[in-house]
Amino acid sequence: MPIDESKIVDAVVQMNPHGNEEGIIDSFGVYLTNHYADYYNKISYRFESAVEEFDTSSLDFLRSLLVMSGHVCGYNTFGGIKKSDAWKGLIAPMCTSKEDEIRGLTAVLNALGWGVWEVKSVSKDKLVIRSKNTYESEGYLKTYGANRKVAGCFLAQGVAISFMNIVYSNAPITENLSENEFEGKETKCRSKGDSYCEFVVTRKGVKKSLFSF
Amino acid sequence: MAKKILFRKLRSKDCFRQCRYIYDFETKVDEEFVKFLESFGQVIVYRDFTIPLVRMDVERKFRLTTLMGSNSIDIFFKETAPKSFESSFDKKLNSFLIH
Repeated sequence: MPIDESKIVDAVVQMNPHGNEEGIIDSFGVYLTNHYADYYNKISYRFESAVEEFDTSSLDFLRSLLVMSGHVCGYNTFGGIKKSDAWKGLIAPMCTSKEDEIRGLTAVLNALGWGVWEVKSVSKDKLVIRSKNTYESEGYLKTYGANRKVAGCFLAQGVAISFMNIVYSNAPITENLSENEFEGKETKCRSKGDSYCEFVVTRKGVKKSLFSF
Repeated sequence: MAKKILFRKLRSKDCFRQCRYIYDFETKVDEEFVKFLESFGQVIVYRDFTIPLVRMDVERKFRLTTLMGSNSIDIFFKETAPKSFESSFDKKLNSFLIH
């Protein structure tokens, strides 16, 4: 059967994930917490500004660290979700292909309130995924406006890459972005003035001439 | 329900240093098994799932998930559980499953 996103969202709401006395949400086989998105946004973008002020040559490295943070998050959260009984009971029966698994992970991400994401296309070597309201771009636009020269949804980029590593890797995967089979970039960003954010994830080593960014 | 012959317990530790066990048995989780679990606390069965999910979170004792029809349960015994609780749970589970 095809992925039924509304059924997945309804099921997540029904499970009512909420924190215990320690603030830990134990759901879907992983430990989560509620956090203020704008707090995360502020520390990320202020960190970026501080580095830009003192050492512009380190900016690319800093941004790669923020993307890696997203990958660690995605690897643990969605990797754990995919192994959970909740996945096996609700989403796995809907999946007839790995492409469906990517759509299933995307539905869970939407249900958890990370924005509204949509898979534009997916194959074993490439994913194109979009969002009209990543929480990073929402926070950046609110604080700074659409003035970025470089795309700024670092955590979202890392999570998008983690999806492909989790579903399509041919070898065991790790938290470490550089050790895995997929890489990605944010090709459109609302913080730059685009109307949506778009992430393109590709398998390393596949000829770039096959794809256009 | 089908009779269980034996069960096998696998042990692993998660990052919160709680002991996690996956019990495998030769029988399957069914409504009677759910009734047995209710003797330990509240059981929630998500029946809208394609394969109903069974979930328990017994404060200070354990967290458990399984699926209807499964022949394993995934259980975390919490650090706050009395040390004797785990062996008492084992004993009750054993006695329920072996007829």
